[in-house]
Amino acid sequence: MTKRIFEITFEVVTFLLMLAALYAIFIYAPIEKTMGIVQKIFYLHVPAAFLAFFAFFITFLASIVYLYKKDQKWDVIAYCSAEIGVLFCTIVLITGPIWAKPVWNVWWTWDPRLTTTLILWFIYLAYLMLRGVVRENQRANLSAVFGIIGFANVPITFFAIRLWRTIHPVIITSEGINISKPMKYTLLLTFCAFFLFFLSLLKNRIKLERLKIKTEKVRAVYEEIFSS
Amino acid sequence: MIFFRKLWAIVWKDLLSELRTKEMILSMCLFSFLVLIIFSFALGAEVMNLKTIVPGILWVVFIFSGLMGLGRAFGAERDRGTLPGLLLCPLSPWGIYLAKMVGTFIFTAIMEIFTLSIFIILFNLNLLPFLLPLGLIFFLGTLGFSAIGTLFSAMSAATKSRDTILSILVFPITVPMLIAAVKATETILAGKTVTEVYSPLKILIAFDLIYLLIAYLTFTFIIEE
Amino acid sequence: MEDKSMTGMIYLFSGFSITWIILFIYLFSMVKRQKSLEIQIEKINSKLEKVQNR
Repeated sequence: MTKRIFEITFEVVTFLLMLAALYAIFIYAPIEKTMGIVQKIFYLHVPAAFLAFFAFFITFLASIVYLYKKDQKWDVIAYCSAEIGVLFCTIVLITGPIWAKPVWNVWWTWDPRLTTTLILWFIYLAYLMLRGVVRENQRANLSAVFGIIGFANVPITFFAIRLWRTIHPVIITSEGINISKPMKYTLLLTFCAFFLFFLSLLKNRIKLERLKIKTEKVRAVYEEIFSS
Repeated sequence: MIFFRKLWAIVWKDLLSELRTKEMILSMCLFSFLVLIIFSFALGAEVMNLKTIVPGILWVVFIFSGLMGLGRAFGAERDRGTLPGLLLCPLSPWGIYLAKMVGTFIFTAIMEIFTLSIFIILFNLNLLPFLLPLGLIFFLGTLGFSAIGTLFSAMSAATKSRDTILSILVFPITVPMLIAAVKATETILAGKTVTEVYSPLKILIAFDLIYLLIAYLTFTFIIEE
Repeated sequence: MEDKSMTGMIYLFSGFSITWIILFIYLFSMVKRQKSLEIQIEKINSKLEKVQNR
């Protein structure tokens, strides 16, 4: 009973924080001098990027724990977190160009962070595809190994892309935003709202996945009974 | 020492069985030749020996042809039904992995030497003064590629669309190695000082070490059923 | 001057709307999957009951 109350309060708090964040973004935060009003996309772009990273980190940790303990619940956590990570990563990769076009007049910048995010997106998309084609008895094992490889690849990819950028010099060199105090607070608020939203998404996705697994088990038992 | 002998036994088996049909090495070399020709038609023959383009094209060809050979490492074993036999070898999983990786490395290296020769002949490249440093870069890059490729070959051997998923897995992970190898090759060909090669070299070495370590830690789980 | 801020608004609007559209599509897909699972459970339950009553 108390668990249910906790869950509901959590969802309500998330919702209210989101509303507060929206207010902060559009009404409280000032309009940036050089970039204009488009800069406000930054309040979506930055938290989404951090959360995508965080989600993939959870997948990385859960994969390691799964390989140690072989308990399926860790595989479920790794999978669900990867899916939500890809979701937020997609948002980062879409809001990035939408922000870049009016400000720097290019759709894509080969900025090291954005490019590393693109590679990360491919990696975890590959993770999801791997889960789709592998047979059940090996799926958790192989996904766990790939989940570890994928995340371990990030630092080295980032350094390699930084090296690559010195070969292909790019027009846009830095972010160049002047962050004032109200902007900092808005960012913090939006970040907290999205963080709670992420946790709620993850929790519900895991619940859904567990339900699916249970249903399949029941169905298997049922079919065994009725075929004999 | 016994470890190395057992390892070499598996590598030798792979080499012998390939020597009989020569099927895979021929298709890899033919494919790389074709890709080179296509590149020259697409970009123009004069462009092909520009020092700025050569490293990029070379490594792209290496990777595409290399991918053809990767599937063989564990795919052929699975198809012929010899995989259980291989796993029963009195060798640790890490040893089996190393053996397969060495085999892949050798085949890929043969393809690379062939490709390089064709490149030199077709486009009048003079690589002689750079042979030794280039050799080192090719060695490290191919090592990284084989390390990752063998790992993923083992993973994708059991799947339906084996080669597709293999490519999808390999490409994003190989990006840092590709960037570092191309940059290093370019620096060497431009005749720059040794110090400028240090950063890509460091990345290549780090890549190789990290993935060999990860393979050591996780290969047992990949062949578990 | 005014035109620039209007284009800025359009980009801002599209950025926010695409984000929320993506999130909502995901939420809807989760709800749909849950509903289909619940239907499956219902079917299995009813078949079990039929067998029990026999």
